[in-house]
Amino acid sequence: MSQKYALSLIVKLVLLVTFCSLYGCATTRTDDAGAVTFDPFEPANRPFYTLDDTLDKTFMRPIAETYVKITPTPVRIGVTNFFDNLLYPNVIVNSFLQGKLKQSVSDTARFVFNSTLGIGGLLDVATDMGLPMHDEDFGQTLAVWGFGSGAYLYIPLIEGPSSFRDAPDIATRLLLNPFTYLPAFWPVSALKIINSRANLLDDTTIRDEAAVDPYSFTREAYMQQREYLIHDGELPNEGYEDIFEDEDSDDPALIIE
Amino acid sequence: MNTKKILLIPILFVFVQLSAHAQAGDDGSCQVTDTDLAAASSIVTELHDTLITIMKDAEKLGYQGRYAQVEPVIQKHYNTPLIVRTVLGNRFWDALSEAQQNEFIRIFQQLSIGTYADRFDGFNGEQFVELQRTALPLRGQCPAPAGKEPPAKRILIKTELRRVNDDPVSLEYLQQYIDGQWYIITVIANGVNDLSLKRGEYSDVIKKKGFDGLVEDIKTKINNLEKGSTE
Repeated sequence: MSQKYALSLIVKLVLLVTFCSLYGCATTRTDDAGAVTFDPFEPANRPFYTLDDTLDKTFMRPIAETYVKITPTPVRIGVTNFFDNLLYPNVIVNSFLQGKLKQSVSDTARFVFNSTLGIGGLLDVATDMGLPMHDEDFGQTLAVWGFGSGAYLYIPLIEGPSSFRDAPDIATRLLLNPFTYLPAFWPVSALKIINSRANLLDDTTIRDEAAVDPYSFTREAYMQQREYLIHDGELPNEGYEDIFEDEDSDDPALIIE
Repeated sequence: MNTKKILLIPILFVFVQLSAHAQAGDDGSCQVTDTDLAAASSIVTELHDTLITIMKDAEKLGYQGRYAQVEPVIQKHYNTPLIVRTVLGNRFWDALSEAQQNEFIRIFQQLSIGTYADRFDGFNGEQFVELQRTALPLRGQCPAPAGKEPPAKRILIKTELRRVNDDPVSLEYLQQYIDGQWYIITVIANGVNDLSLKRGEYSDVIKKKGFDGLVEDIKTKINNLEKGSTE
C-alpha cells in the first residue's frame, strides 16, 4: 500500500473527526434509560443493511460455513490469533491514548511475545504469561475523551454497524496494521474476512432467532455492546434499572394521547 | 401478681416488638437481606440447571421437548407483565385494551421460551458459574413516607457461561421483589440488555407497521422457531 494511500486515509480521519466536532456528534440520545437510539440516517442505513444482508446470505455465510466445516478448530483458533495480533498495534496505541499506561505496556509486551514466541501471532502465548488480551479501538478512545456516539451509521461491505464516533477507527485500524503496507494485503484480507465472518456465525444465529426487525436489533445490540466495551465490561449496575424507573424514557413517537 | 410476673411483662413486650419488626423485614421493608440474595440466586441456578438439562438431552427432547422443559421456569420466574410494559413504554401499554395486553404477554413469553429452546440445542461442555450477588442501592426513602410507594428492591446476579475453546459469555440477571416474590425482569448478555434492545427494536416496528403488525411479526417468528427455520 502506497504512502499516498496512507496519507489520504489520515486526511479522511481528520475530516471525520472535524465533521464530528462541528456537527454535534458529541450529542446523543442513546442512554442507559433505553431511550431510542439516534438514527437520523435510517433511510440510508436500512437499504445498506439490506444490501449487506443479501450479500451475506448469498455468499459470505455459505463460504464461512464451508470454511468452518473444512478447517479443524485449532487451525481456526490459530488464524483468529494471527489476525488479532495484527490488529494489536491499534489496541496498544488506543490503550495509551486512553491513559491506561500500565495496560499499554502490558499490551506492547503481549504483541512482542505473540509475534516472536507465538510464531507471528499464530499462538497466543502471552495470555498464559499473564498478559491478557484487551479490546480497545479509536472509537472507545474518542468516548473516553468525551465524545458522544453521534448518529448510528451502517457502513456496507467494509464495516457493518458503526457510528460517527466509531467510523474513524476504520482508518486507525488500517494504518496501524502491518499488513496494510505489504503486497499480500488483499489475499490476507480475504482470509481475514472469511475467518471473521465464521467467528460471527453464532451472533448472527442469535439475531436470526430473536429479531423481529433485524436492522433495529443489530443497531441496538451494537450500540449497547460499544458502551460495554468503553466501560471495559464493567458497566455501572445502576444503568440497568433506569429503564424501569424513568417514565419519561417512553418513546415519544409511541405515545398515544 | 408477683414480682417475677411483673418483670416478665416488659420482657414479653420487647419480644413481641422485636418479632413484629423481624416480620416487617421479611415482607414490608425495602432492605435486601441475605435471604433475599439466596432466593434470587436460587432462581438463576434453577434456570441454568434447566438449560444444562435441555442442552445435554437436546436431541432426544427435540425443540418441543426443550420448549416444554423451559416453559414452567420462565412462567414462574420471569415477570413478563412488567417486562412487556417496560418494553412498550408505560403510556403506550396503558392505551392498549386488556385483550391486546394479554395477547401480547402471551406471545412475548412464547418468543422468550422459543428462543431458549432454539438456542440451547446441544452440549459442548458448557458451564454456568455465579460470580457475584449484589443488592442494588434503593432509589427512594426506606421506609417510604406516608402515601408513597416504597422503592423497589432489586438484586443483580452476575454469572458467566463458560465454553470450551471459546470466550465466556457474561450473563447478568436483574431481579425485582414483587408481591412477596423475586422475579427476573431482564437479562444482560455481554453488556446487551435484552429489554432495552427489544424496546428499540419493537418501537421501530410499531412506527412502521403499527401494534398489530408487531404482533403478526412476533407470531411469524414463533412459527419459524417451531419449524426450525430461523430465517
